[in-house]
Amino acid sequence: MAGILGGQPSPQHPSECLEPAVLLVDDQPANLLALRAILADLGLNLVEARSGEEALDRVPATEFAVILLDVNMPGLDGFETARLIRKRDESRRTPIIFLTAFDSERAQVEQAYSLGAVDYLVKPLLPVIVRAKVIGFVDLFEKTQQVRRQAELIRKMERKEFEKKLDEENARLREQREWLRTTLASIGDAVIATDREGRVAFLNPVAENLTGWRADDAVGQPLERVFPIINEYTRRPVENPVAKVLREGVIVGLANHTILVSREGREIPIDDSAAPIRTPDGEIAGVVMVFRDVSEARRAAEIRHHLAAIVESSDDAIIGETLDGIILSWNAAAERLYGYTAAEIVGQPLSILVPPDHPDEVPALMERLKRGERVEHFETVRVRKDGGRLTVSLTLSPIKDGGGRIVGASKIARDITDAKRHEVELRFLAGASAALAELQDVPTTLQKVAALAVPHFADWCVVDVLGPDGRLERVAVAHADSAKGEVARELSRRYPPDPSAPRGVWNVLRTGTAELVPEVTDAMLVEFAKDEAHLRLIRELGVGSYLGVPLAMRGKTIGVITFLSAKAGHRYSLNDLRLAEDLARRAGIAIENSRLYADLREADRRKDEFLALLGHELRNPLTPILNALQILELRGDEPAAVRRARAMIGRQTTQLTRLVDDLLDASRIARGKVRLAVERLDLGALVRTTVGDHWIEAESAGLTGEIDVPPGPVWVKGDLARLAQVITNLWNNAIKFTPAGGRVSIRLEVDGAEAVLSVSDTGIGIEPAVIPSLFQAFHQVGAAPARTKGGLGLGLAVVKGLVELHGGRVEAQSAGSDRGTTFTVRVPLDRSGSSLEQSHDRKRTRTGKGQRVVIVEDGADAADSLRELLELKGFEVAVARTGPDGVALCRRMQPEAIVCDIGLPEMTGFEVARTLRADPATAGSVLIAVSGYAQEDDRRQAQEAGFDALLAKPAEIEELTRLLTNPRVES
Amino acid sequence: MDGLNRPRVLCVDDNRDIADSEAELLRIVGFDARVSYDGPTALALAREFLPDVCLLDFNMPAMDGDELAVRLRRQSPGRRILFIALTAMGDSESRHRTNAAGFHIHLTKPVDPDALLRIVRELWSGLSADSCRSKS
Repeated sequence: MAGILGGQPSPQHPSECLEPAVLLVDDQPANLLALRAILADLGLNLVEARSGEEALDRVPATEFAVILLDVNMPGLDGFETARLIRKRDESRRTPIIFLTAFDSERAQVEQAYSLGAVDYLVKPLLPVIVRAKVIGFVDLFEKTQQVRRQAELIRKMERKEFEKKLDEENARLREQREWLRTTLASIGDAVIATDREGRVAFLNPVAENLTGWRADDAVGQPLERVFPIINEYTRRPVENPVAKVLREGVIVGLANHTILVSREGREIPIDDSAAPIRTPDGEIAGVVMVFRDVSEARRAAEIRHHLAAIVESSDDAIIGETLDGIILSWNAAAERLYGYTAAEIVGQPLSILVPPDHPDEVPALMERLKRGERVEHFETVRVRKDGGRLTVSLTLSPIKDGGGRIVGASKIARDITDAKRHEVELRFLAGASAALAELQDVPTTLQKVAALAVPHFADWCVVDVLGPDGRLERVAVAHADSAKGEVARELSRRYPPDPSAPRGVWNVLRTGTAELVPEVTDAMLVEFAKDEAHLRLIRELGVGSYLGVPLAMRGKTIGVITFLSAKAGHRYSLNDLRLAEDLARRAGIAIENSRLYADLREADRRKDEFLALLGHELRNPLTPILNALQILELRGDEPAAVRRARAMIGRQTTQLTRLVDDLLDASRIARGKVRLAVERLDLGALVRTTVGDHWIEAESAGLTGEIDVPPGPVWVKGDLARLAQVITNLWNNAIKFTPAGGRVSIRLEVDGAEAVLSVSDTGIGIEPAVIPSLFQAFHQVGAAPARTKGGLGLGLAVVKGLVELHGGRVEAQSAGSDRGTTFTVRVPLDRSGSSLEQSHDRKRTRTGKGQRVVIVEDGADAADSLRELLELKGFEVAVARTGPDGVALCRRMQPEAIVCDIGLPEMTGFEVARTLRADPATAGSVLIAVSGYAQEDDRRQAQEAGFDALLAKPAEIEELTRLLTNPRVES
Repeated sequence: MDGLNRPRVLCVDDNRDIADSEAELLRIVGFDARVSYDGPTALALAREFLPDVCLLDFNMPAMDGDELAVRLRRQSPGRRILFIALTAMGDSESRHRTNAAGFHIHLTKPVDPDALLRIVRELWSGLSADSCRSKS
């Protein structure tokens, strides 16, 4: 630059050659060829050098108009070469244009300038620019040569003659200098030149703009004033480069982070270099300083660094790749995700990461990228360095160069294996819960659960449930691969789960705790296998991971859900275990619900059938009663017809009463409402009396009766009436189910601490399967219609309930259909001693001989029937129809007991009770309420009013009798 | 209904009181009525009694009413017999069964005796009108 500014040619080496010479230095022949091609038609002498050394050899021989010097060369690099060229006098001022790579560091450019480069060209070369620059320097060179030639001319010609020419020439030179100045002024960088005192001599417009000084004002000012610079961080003034250049005569570059403070106070980060201006004889005439605003570049660099840091610190893998699928960049997250280091994988094809079963994926993605499409959240599977598979979500974007050409792709990969898994789990659990909520039967429910587990959660899912016989039942099987399903089936058929195995289904069942084997090894299989064939089969199954969880219902393990994962599949973790346990818990609840639901449905069905049967049984006796009434009407004058009709009505009414009694008993037993009037009694005597009463029924059915009771008393504690009911029911039951010609027998014996009563027949018998449900109320419903025998099937339920209330038990044995039946009742013996109160005489304990009873009841029918019944029992009875009448009657009669309706006119039963209790004449009477309402609340109210007991209407006569004679049994 | 040509009614019910009372009522109003308390006996009786109308209980042990009806008809081919089912069940399944067995009338217990008599009478008059027409 100094040469240009000075405008003084230095005629050291007159060139022999007429064409201006240009030295091209590059180690690559191809680059040389390119340069030559670009410059070929400019009429230049193009001299080539393949290295710095060769260039140095060329320099002394020829005076070059310009040197194009490659920076990156083996051996002597461009900078070193330039430095050496500059050292030589003959080439001290030869302009050098550096050739630099496209992506050269800024530092390189700085260095180039500091070495006095006039310019630099970026590879790949743009011919227009190369030519323009070279032409510029060649022109300059030619001008210089011309000046030199003219000087020689002057010497050769008459001075005078040529003075004018010289003047002209000088004028032209001035003009040229002006042109150079203009050029300088037009340069994109700021330029300031100073004189040797460091005062500003020249300021181009860019420099004016940056410093805020107009050239007119600045010229003559000390540089420090026009160009004050500080360090960005310390904020301290930085030594002005000009001073250093003037002092040391060297080219000085500015340190980084230098800030120019403009005249108006604006701070501009700059980058500059200052070089001495030397006169042709080498003296320093001033300094030229070239600087530029680097804020843009700085910002760009900062952004670049920032972006790079973002990429590097990203949690997502960010990968750069070519359109051919070659990996170009690889961040730390990619390293973590895939297990490869950047060094290992950059330059490798992407296919390394792709599982073999996705061969077409990468080409298809690349096709889309080449079309300029962006691919977002593409979910697929990739392979890690260690062979593990992961589910990733990929987002790919094409990368375009400055010209908009797609040159590659950036890819962001996110590991969604866990998220995916979680999603699968949630879906599985949600699906299972929905399926479980459907209240279907248990096998259907479990089959649904198993089916839902496959294939996302397991490759096989098996549900085993403990059957009633203590054996495992495989209730549900689901598998992803039907061929493997076949193997699994064969396995379970040939090698059912071994109860003694330390691991597996039975262990889960035994312990109620889950088993988790994340990695099933071959060694485990070998240990597990029973024999070679077994081992072969389980190897064939290819189980990779195993999870077994207990299926529990009300805290009891009832089965096991087994999940198996194939070798290449998922490895179960504690997380999966928790999920499976959660599922099993839900399944357990569902099974329980399902069973409850089935029970409810069954109970509901039985109730419906029972109601139908009840209707049938109640209707049946009504028909002959109605017929008999009609007969009475038509033939009331015929004694025989009347007798028949009456007998018919009597029989059928008895039957109806029995049905209703059975129904009420069964219902009361079921609700736990039966209270026993317990006394010490001789069961032997009771059996004899009761069977004696019903002997005739066996005979009229054409049966032989047998009775076998020990001669001495068999003491038990019990309710005489209820035990008599048990005996009657069993006896009648035996008669009912034994065809004519058969035999019914009853036997009582003492076995240890128990009295054992057995009733046997030779009748139709019972299928063993039916026996467990025999004692359930309404059981007869399920039997074939022809087997029903005019009854509600409640008798045995009543027997069971009553026997159990006595602390005993009842069971049935039958050898099967038509092989007869034996019912056995066991009740504890009473060994308490005293035989004085052997009061098993029903009549004595149950009658109210001589007792006076007042009935307060407004319903005439109810009052009359109750009066008749009580009179039959030996009571002396009086009736009042209203509360006040009742109270008056009681005061007059002072009865032992009073039976009072609650819903009375004028005065409620409660009021009657309170009045009677308040009167000393009646306060001691037994007071029994009868009411259509007998809920807990009604009872409490009755008690509060002073009643001893409350009976539901219609009051059962036996119960009433018992209460009237012994009310304190009631609590 | 003269003595010679009294219509014959067979009443079958395992509840003896039902069969007996039906028969007695029918006799009172002039029918020739017989009873039996189970299917096999009824079949045997029908062979000589040749009933015109059969009043059959539907649910009986040993042989149900529908089976009995089928067998009674098969036993007397060519004879016109009218079948009345008496059942405690009025549900559709029972009706379906009585229909399938060829019953003409399905009565649900308890049957009003007046209604029963009226029905049997009308059946009989229709039956005799038919036979008069066929004779003419």
